[in-house]
Amino acid sequence: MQGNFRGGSTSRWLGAALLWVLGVTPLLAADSNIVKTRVAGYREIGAAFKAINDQLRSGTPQPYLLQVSAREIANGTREQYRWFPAGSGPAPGVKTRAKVAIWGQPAKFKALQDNFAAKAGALAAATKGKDAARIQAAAKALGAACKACHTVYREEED
Amino acid sequence: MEDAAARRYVWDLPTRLFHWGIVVLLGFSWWCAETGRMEWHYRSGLTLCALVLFRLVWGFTGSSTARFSGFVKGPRTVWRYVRQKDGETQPLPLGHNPIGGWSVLVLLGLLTLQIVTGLFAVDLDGLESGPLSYLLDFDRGRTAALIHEVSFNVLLAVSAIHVLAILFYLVVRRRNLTWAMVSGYQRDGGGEGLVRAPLWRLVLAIVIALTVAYAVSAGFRF
Repeated sequence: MQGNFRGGSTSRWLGAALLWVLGVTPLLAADSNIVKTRVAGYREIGAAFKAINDQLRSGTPQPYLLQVSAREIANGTREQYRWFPAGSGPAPGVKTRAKVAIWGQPAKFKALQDNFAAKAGALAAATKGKDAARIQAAAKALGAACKACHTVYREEED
Repeated sequence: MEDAAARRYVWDLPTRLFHWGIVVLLGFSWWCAETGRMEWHYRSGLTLCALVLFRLVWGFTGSSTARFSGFVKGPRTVWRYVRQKDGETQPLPLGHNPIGGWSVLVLLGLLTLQIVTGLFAVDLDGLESGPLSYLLDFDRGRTAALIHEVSFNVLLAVSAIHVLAILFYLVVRRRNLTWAMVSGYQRDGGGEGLVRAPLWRLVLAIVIALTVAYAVSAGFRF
């Protein structure tokens, strides 16, 4: 039995194939899906920011809703650092508005990502308090951080 | 010099102001959206909202040529008008002709769609949004924004057809409809002009339009 196993090249190939399927395919899939992950991630951030702005404009914002949404954005800003691996830029058949310059100017891009993360953190911190003016100012600063990066590194809509 | 007797008063001042207000603000809203001046885009859009609301009320209460009942004709009348040669259409209809009447309805419908979708729209970043977008979730707000974009292109196309039709009347039929919309007078041999609406109806239409537009701008939250 043992000899058969050791000597069976078919078994060895099957084993390697199984390893490939289990181990490598998900990695490849994750790589090709990173654009989708990125788009979905920013969509969540956009939706959370809409919830915050809706609350702030209502005149009677619910602190809990502000906190949940602000935390969601802050979590997103931690995820964002793995959303732009090399090779996930514009390519034929890939639906992305990320500009090539992102990968050409990594330091500048990271500085804008850091700014986004800092402003999201500041908003999350502000929503824990009751200072409405501070929350408003933090939300405005966060919006400006979004814009600062989008105007440079995101293609205009068609 | 144009003979005063050979022309008829066809468009009252409110209708003309509405028309040129739409022309100016539509262009201004477009420019603001393209250049990222969203604060002004909202103001312009809400003013357009008030203007269209006014026109809808004025279509039921206004002077004779502004009323829907006066210019919205059935398909048979439209077909008869299309088949007529210019000479046969005398006396010219006072105000919108049977096709023009429908183009007014289509343009008003598209303007309404444009305004309503704008009120509910939200941008991709959840940053800029219309005053009623809080009533929808993010995805539906994005759908509203998408329709807002597509319907604007349709509105532009229909406006272009509207301008082409006016050019057709100017070049082929030798009638300056643009000047009529500026001066209020139609040059067609004279006769009875429009029946004016009393002032109180104008005041009522303005009050209704401003009240509803204000309520919309506040998201119906007072």
